[in-house]
This record gives sequence, C-alpha cells and structure tokens, in this order.
Amino acid sequence: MTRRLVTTIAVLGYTALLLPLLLLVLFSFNASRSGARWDGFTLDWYARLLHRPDLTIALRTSLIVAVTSTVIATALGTLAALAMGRHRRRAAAAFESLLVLPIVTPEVVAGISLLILFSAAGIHLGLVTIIIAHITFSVPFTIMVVLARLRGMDSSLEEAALTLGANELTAFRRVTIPLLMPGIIGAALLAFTLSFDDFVITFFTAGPGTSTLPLVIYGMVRRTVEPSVNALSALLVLGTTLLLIVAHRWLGRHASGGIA
Amino acid sequence: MKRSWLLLGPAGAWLAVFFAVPLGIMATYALRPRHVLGGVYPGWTATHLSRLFEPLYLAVLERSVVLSLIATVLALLISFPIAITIVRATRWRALLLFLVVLPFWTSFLVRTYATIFLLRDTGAINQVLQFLGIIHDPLRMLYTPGAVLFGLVTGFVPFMVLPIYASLEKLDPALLEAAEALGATSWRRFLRVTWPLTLPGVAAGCLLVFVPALGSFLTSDLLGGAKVELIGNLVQNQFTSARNWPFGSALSFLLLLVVMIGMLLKLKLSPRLTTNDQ
Amino acid sequence: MSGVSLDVAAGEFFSLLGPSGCGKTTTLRLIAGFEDPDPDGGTIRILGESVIGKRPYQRPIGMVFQNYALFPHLSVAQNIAFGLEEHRVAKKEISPRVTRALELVRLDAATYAARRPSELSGGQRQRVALARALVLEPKILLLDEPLGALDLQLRKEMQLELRRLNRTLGITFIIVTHDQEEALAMSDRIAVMSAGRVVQVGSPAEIYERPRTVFVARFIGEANVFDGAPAQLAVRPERLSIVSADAATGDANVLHGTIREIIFLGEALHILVNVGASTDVRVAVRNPGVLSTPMPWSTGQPVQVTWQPGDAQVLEP
Repeated sequence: MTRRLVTTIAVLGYTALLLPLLLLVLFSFNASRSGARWDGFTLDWYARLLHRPDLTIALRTSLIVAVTSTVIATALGTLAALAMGRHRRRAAAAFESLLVLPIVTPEVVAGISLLILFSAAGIHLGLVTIIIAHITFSVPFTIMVVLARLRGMDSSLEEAALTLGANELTAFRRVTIPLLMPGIIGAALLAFTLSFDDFVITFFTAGPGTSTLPLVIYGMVRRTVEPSVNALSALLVLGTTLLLIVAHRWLGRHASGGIA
Repeated sequence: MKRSWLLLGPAGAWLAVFFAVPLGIMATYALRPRHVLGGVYPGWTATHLSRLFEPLYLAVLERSVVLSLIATVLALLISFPIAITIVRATRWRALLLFLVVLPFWTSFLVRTYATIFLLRDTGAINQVLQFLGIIHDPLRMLYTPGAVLFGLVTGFVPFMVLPIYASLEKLDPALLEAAEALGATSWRRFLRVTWPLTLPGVAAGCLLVFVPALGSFLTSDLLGGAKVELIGNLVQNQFTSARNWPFGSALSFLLLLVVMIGMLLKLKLSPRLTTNDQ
Repeated sequence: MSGVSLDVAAGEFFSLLGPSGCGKTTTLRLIAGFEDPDPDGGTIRILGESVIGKRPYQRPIGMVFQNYALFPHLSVAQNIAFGLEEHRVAKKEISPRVTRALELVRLDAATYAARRPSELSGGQRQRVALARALVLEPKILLLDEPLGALDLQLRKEMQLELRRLNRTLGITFIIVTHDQEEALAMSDRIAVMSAGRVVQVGSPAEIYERPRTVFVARFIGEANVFDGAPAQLAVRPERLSIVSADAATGDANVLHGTIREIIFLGEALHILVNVGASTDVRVAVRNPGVLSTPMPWSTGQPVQVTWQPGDAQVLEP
C-alpha cells in the first residue's frame, strides 16, 4: 500500500520533471507555427537557426565566457581546495563555512550587487564583466567539488611516495594531481554548465551590446512565438544530455568521486 | 608545503572583491538618494528603508515567502518517493538517477519555458483532459499562481532529490533490518530510522529549494505572466524599468535577511549525526 | 611523548608494542621523518648518522603503511617501479628488479604485474606493499600495523613471511603492533610502550617471563597480580598449580578458594578460582583431552592454588 503510493508519486514526479523537455523537443519538429496541434514533421525551425547571425555571435560569446570562467574558476578553486584540505587551520575552516554565503545568496542579489560594483567603479559592462561574474558564482562550487575529492583521498598515499624517494613536489605531481583529476574535471564540468546555462546574473552584468545564448533565448521567448526558439532550446537540452553521458562515462571509468 | 594555506589567497581575494565588496556597496546604496537614470546621488536618506514597510511591498514579501515555503514542502513530498525509488531500484538505478541529474544540469530557463507546453490552454494537460472528456473547455492554468508554483516545484525538485538520495544511499541497510527485527512496521521504520538519519539531506535539500525559489524571477516572469509578482521580480524591476537602484538595494537586503533566517533554521533543524557522517 | 630511548641493532626484527594511543605510531613516524621531534626533544640516528631535519626521502628507510597506501591509479608493476624511478635507476634495470621484488614476496609477475591494486585481495596488496618498499633495498623497513587488516589465517602466514624476509635480506624491521601475540611470535626484541613512554625493552621471553611492571605483565599474556611485601607480584596462570582443598601442600604460597568458572580454550583450560572478596585467580591447565580423561574439577568446588617462589615476578611499583 505504502509502496504503491511511493511509486505513484515517483512516477508523477518524473513525469512533471521530464515531460516538458520531451514536449519541447517534439514541438521543435512540429510544422505548425502556433504549435497548438501537430501539423507534421519538419526541420524548418532548425534550418532557420542557421540564418540568424545573432545566434552565432551569442553562441560564441557563451562559449568564450564559459571556457574562460571555467578555466579561471577551476584553477582558483583547486588552489583553495588544496590549501583547505591540508590544513586544519582556523582560517581555512572559517573560510569553508563562509563559502556557503555566495551559494545561498539569491542570484538576483548577486547579479545586482555586481552591477552596482561595476557601475560604481565605472567599468563598462560587456564580455569582461560577464566573465568576472561567472567566475564569482562558480568558485565556491569548484572549491567544494575538489575539496570533497581531496578529503576522500588517503593522505598516506603521499607519505608513501615520500618514503619511495619522491620529494614533496614530485609526490604532488605523480600522486596528488592524478588522484585529484576526477575532482578537477568534475569541478570544471560544473563550472562550465553553470556558466553556459546562467541567465539571471548574466542578465544584470551584460552590457547592451553583449548577449549570451540564454539572454537571446529569453528575448525570443518573451517577444515572439517563433518556433525556432524551440529548436534552439531543444539543441541545448540535447547538448546537456550528451555532455552528461560523456562525463558519466569518463568519471565512471576514472574512479568514483564524481559530481551529482 | 607549510605555507600551502597561502593558496587560499587567490580565491579568497576574488570572493572578497567580487562577492563581499559588492554587497557592502549595495548596503550603502540602500541609503542613498535615487538617481532617475539608475545609480544614486551622494548623501544619505532612509526613505527606501521605510518604503519597505508599505503594505504593498509587505504583501509581495509575504506572497513570496508563502509560495516558496509551499514549493519547498511540495518538493519534499515529491522528492522523498523519487529518492526512495532510485535507492530501491537495482537494474534501473543508474537510469533513474540520470533522469534526475539531467534536468539538474539543464538550463533552468529552457526548462521553465518548456513547462508552457504542459500548462498552456492548448497544452498537453488540457488536450489529454479534453480527449478523455473530463473537461470541455480548456482549464486556464498558465499565468496563474498555480502555474508559478508548479514551475518552482518542478524547477527545483532535482536540488531536493539529490541530497536526499545521497543520505539515503549512505544509510546502512542493516539499520532498517535491525528496526524490523525489533518489531517496527515499514511506516514506523521510516519514521524512527530513515527520517532522522536522512534529516541532514532533507535540511540541505529544503534550503536548496527555498532559497532559489524565494529569489526567483524567471518563473513568475514566464509562467505567471507578470500577474504574480514576487520579490525577485520587484528587485529586478528596480534595476530595469523602474530605475530605482537604492530601493532595489533595500529590497535585496530584505531578501537576504529572509534567506539568512532560513539558513539559521536549517542549522537548527539539522542535527549533527557524527556517527553516520563518515 | 617523552622518555623514548631505543637502540635497534642492524638486521634486528624489532617491535613497538602497546595499546592504541601509546605513541608507537608516532615513534615510527618520527623515524620515517613524517613528524619532527621538538627542537630540544632529542635525536634520531640511523647507522650512526643523525637524520634530524632530513625529509623522509632523504632517509634510508622503507615503509609499509597500515592500509598499504598502494597508488590506486598505478598498476602493481608501476607501484613497485615508482621508487626505482624516483631514485633514477636506469630504465632497463627497472623491469627485472620489479619482477625480482614480486618473486621475493611470492607473487607471480606474469599474473599480477599489470593489475590495479583494486583487483587484489588484502593479502596480495600486503605483498605488493612489501615489494614496493623492499625493491629499494632500504636499511630499515618500517611497518605500521601491517597485518591489522588481514584475517587470522593470513595473518599467521604473513608473520612467518615477514620473519623470513627479515632473515634473508638482513634488513632491520621495525614494526608497530598492538597485538601482543604477533609481537611475541615475530620479534627479536620488543619495546612495550604506554602513555608515550617505553616501559620495557627485551626479548619476547624476557618481556613475558620478567615483566617489569603491572602494565607489562597484564598487557602481554595473562597474569595474576598479588599484593605482596614489599612490592606486587605477578604469576603467570601456567605457573600456578591447582590441588584439592584437603591435599597437603609443601609450598609456601597457598591460596584457598572455590572454582567459579572453567574456560575451555582448546590446548589449555583456564580455571578461575575465587579467593575471597571479588578476587579471581586464573590457573592454566593443559588440556588432557577432557572427553577421554575428565578433569577432577567442577565449578563450586573448594580448591587450593599454589606456586613455587621462583615462579613469581617482583614488579616495580
């Protein structure tokens, strides 16, 4: 009885979670312009995406922002995690509990506070401000992912390397880094996805001339019923799915300790 | 090696400059006279703070908090069965987990937009109900508070499922068997063993749903059709159409205050289960 | 820690024995170089040379860790080659030395060289960890509870194995253990530690038959401790005799009591005799084969317990 209730709720939950995405992909192939009913299969909406230069530019902006902020956020996060994992210093412990703050700060607030900072400092909004903002919200996550991996690591492995003739630097290079790699990759994946998908903080920190893909989608969704937005969104969902499958395969092969 | 805690420097400095300092400046902005083109004038004023207590804005705050709380409770009610189903599954476990992780990683904007296909007058739900002959005219679902609630719950459910799943997975099955051997029925077992031991995951999940729900403006924007104004929309407006930066800053601090209260509640609710926390 | 002063001879099999938290692991880590003594806290010499201030990789030591600490991202052969590479051993020499190290610990190179540590059993991991340390031919091999994770059968087998390696290689073994049986079975000498101090150093026989303190007497084997004048006395259970209550005894040391419990241990039986108040005396009797030769003792029976003066050890306060 309880079991059936649990299963029923789970099925409904999964439906509510996944059906919209399925419908989105389905309607991206729908010939009907209004999308009210099924008018047959078409690839028109995808073809139209190719004739939108603004999309190409937005995609490029999104990729530049995501790659740059991922590299920097992962580097900052890995360094900080290394410091925190090794030392039970009070400063490190305090820093760790402070990390929760950027994570629980609502995106709206983080976004406008950065907008205020840039405007007060007279920094022109654009690519650079978006990248700065994305690094800021990614760093706490990269620290936590790498730190989790580091904490799960046996510290006697590095000591073993020392007894085998490796000095600290070599032990770090030959033992710590390879074992930390799944965590670092996981952190990078997370940072990349957070950046690529972010709408709210980008909304406040992008200047009028710069648009990322989510900003363009938001504009399209609000203004028109142009079904090519379905095609674009469906492509994003598809991209995420592929990325996830690849990531799962990779992390599955290279030891446990991945991310969600 | 002994100085390796200095590696904390870059990330620490970054967050100080781009997280802490902006909040500090925002705090002063809440006390500045408004500039009609955005930004502020020099000088100090308390008008924005006192405006927060006008009934109009208090009503928005109340609506936001209530809606977020309901969304959190509903998300919990859906997430626990999902997490249990995943943990119980053997063959399909990886797939079921993947189906939660997928929306977790998918753009929130896209997912919110996709919800329209479900809820609109010609959407899937109405079509199915009409096909079954349960209703004649389509139900008006989109652009109602219910739609916003639906969007919030489905939008943040993965954030609740994953921590609960993580703590359920850590749960030693022997504990449940022990409870059963001691005579507990399945429901009592859940209440006296599973629930207390997964409480840290539940608390984390609740915070991860409540906080973004409270600060959201995309959901009410797209699914509420500007009819359901939440505090997130109010803040956004001050920095876009209304161009009232100081009042927006004051509202932001109000939002932060509620979030902090939520954090403290979470810390209180989540007992330290050191024995089960390895 | 204080008052830890040890001299370990070259080639010796030396055990640091004590309960958890007694400082034995810290001592080992001091020798390895993972911990430093306080600036005025004394010195550590290996082969007459002070190693204070030297990092672990500058010391002629090898180490086997409690959980083996095999690198999970490297194969068995790569694990063993790790130290050789760090010591700049010529490339073409590495592979034969890895094979020889595996042979030394009786693992078939063809079968195991390419495996990952996660594909090995506990005993095999133990052997790989040994091979990885021994391939560098250290002067001293440090072993931190090396057999703790193995089951009883395997542990006994590895005890002999360690003993064999120590004898054939001539390398000094310093091993940390909390298992007194293990220490007695393997060691040339044992240092018993308690609360950060070395309480007694000696051969297994000396430690067992001439315990210096109550702690040593109780920690190694079983002991009956009696209050005597001027000091406490310890008598091992197998040194006590048990006779019926009415028998005449010529011994000076006699205690009267009743049998409270008889414990069957296989090769011996322990008889607990209550000798007043809540004091029990433990007497060990060789098992005569109780099914064919029933023992004349049963619980509740009044008996006398006696011992020869030479069997009692005078303990330091």
